[in-house]
Amino acid sequence: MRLELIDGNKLKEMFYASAQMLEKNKQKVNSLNVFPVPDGDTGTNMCLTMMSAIKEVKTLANGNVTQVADAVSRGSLKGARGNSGVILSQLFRGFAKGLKGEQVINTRKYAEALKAGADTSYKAVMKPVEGTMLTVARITAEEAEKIAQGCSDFNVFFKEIIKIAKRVLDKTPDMLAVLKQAGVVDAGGMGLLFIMLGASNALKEDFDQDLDLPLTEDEIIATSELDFSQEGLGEIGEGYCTEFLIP
Amino acid sequence: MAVKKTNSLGEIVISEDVIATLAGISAIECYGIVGMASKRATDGLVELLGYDNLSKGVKVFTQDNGVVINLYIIVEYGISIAAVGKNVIETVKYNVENIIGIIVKKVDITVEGIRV
Repeated sequence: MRLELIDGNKLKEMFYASAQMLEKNKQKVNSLNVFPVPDGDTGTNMCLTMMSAIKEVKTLANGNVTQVADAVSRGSLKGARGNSGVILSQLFRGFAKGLKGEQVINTRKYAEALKAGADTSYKAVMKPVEGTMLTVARITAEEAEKIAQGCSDFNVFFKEIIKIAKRVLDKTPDMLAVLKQAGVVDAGGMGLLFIMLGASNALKEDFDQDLDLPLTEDEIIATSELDFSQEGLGEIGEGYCTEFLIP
Repeated sequence: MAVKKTNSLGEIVISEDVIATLAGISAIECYGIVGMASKRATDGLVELLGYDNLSKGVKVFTQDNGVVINLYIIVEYGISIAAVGKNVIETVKYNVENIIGIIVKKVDITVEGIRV
C-alpha cells in the first residue's frame, strides 16, 4: 500500500520499531566493534541511547513530526552513551532540525532531514573518519535526496535507501584499515542499518508497538524480504579479543 | 618528569611532552571535541588550540609507576558533555597504555568551553 505522507504517530512508530530492531540485534553489532577502541559495546551503547530517546517520545501524548523528532533529539542527547551513542544523538539532532516546523512529511522532506542529520554529525568532530557510521549516514543521505526526487512512496523509498546503506557498509573495510585487518564492517554503520530496517518495518499498518516483546523470528525473517541477503553477517567470527579492565 | 622504562640492555626515557602530545591527539580525534583549551594567564580567556600546539592543553604528572593526565577540552554545543568526557578518558587511557606502554592511573577532564 502506498504511503506518501508520514505524520507524528507514524514517525513515533518508526522510532519504536528502530529501537526494537536494534535491541534484538545489539550483540551482533557489539561483535563488530573494533574502532576506535575495541571494547565491544557499540550495539549496547546505540541501543541505550535509542531507549532514552524513546522514553522521551513516550511522554508526548500526541504530536506532529516536529515534536516527535525534537523529543527524540532531546532524549538521545540526555541518554547518549559511548562514541556511537553520541554520534547517533547528533544524527537525530540534525534530523530534527531538518524537519523543523513540519506537521507531516513526504519523501523529499525526509531526505532533507537525513541530509541535515549527516551534516550536523560531521560538524562535531575535528577529523571525521571515513569508513565509520558517519560515512554510512552521509552517503545514504546524499543518495536519498536523489531517490526522493523520483519516488514519493515511502515503502519504495526506504527499500532503496536501505540498499544504499548496505552497499556503503560493505565498503567500510576498504575505507578504514583497522576494519579490513579485523575482517569486519563498521559496527556503528551496522547499527544504523538496523535502525533503518526497523523504521521500514513500521511502514506497514499493523505494527506492534510494545517494546517489551522482542520481535519474533518470523518477523525478523520477514524484514529480509528486501532483496539483499544477510547471511554474510553471521559468518563473522572473533576478529579480536576484548579485555575489560575494571578499575 | 619523564617516564623511564628499563630492561636488561638499557633504558627508554619518554618525555612528558610526548605523553601530552599523544593524549592531546587522542582527545582531539574523539567525537564531540572541537579543540584543546589553553587559559591565557593574562586575562583568563580560553584559547582554542589546534594540532600544532595542542600539548598546551594537557598536563602530565608521573605518579609511582604510572601517569596522571589532565586534559582541558572544548566541546561542540548540543552534545552530551558527560558522554564525550567519558569517551575521551577511555580513548586517552587506551592509546597511552597501548602505544607508549605506561600505566595511566587517572585521567581528569576539564571542559573549558563550548563552541556554539
